Amino acid sequence: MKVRLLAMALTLVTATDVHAQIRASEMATFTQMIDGTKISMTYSRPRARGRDTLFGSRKAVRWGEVWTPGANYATTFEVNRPITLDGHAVKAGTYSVWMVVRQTGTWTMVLDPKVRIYHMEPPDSNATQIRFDVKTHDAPFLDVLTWSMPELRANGGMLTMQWGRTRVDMNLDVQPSYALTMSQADAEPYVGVWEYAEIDSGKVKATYQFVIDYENSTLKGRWHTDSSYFKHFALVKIAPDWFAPGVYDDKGQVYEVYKPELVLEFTRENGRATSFQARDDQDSIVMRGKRIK
Amino acid sequence: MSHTFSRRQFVASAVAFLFLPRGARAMRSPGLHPSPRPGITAAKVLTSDRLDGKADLIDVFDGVREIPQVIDGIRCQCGCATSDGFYSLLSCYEGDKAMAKICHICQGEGKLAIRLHREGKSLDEIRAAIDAKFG
Repeated sequence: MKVRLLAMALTLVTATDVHAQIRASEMATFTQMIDGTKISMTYSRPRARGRDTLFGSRKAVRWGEVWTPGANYATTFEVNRPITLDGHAVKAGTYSVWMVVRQTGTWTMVLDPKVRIYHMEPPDSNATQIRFDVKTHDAPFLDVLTWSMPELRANGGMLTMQWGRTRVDMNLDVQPSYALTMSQADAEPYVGVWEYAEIDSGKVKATYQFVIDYENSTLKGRWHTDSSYFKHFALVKIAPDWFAPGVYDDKGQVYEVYKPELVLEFTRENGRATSFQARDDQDSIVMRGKRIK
Repeated sequence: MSHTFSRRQFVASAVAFLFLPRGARAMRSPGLHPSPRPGITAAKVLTSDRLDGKADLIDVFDGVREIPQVIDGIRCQCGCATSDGFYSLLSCYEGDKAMAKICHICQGEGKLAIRLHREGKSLDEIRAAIDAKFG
């Protein structure tokens, strides 16, 4: 008990002490933005320090322990918008992070809305927590416990904790800021063949064809019909009659929406789009187009 | 030839003459638009002789000066909105340290607001357009 109190007292002192100090588990913050959702983790990073076995060891993390994947005060996970983690809804907020580590089978990931908890006092299971099973994977030895997002998509990524030879991956999905799909009735006014002129400093440089079609519930555009180089890109609706190009990766997923760099502003006549202007981030017109079919 | 094209290739081919600023995108900070301050004027908006010789900025600063009551009701999305002394997009055009002298987002938002105002759009419509394009 004395040792525990001493350890807590020492941690309290160090937590409020801003002077330079060498610590066994240095503080770190990890932040990732995905489509406007900010994901942050703050944690102390324990090092293996020569310990070959970290899990199932009396010197580190014991089997059955409710462990914060970090050190000192519990690791925190913060999101500014709702997300899902391995399919489990997580509201915007800050949570302390815990894992129930087991020798066999899955571990349990625990997000507790109560934060600033010392690692030696893990919370009991309760209804406010978000709990779900996670699988562990063998991984190359990593000396310092690390949270990261080694894989990113337009709408999420893989949140990973790794220490020693153990890695836990969780799929994180954010709420997309755009709807890529639209009804055929909403898309129909824009579908057709267009002729557009590139404009440089107010002067027409050249004219080309621009095709807009509707495929897989998505409005798509293609600049040059005679070029196989240009694949379809999504026309992402950002406002009434305003669209920004959403560019696909090789897996068919939109990985970036080009705004404010290029926004197509359509004009309608009798409900049908008949012309457009494309404007850049300086509101300069860089293309003018008119429907030809 | 690969069918996967990079951002550079895409933009270069679509609008070959554009040199598009990228860095400010990550700094955008969506938030509520401010209410225009009663009696706000453009007295602090920089005049052309204080734009460090940047002639291409004269139109937007002059345009902002014409509609301070509109620009003061817009939150800038470039990230400057949390700066000390900042109130609205109008703040970006005021004083010797006016952010709009160097920031493409501040400039673009100002130009869009000026155009839409001239087209007869309301402040709410202009705010919605700013949010759609720059938010």
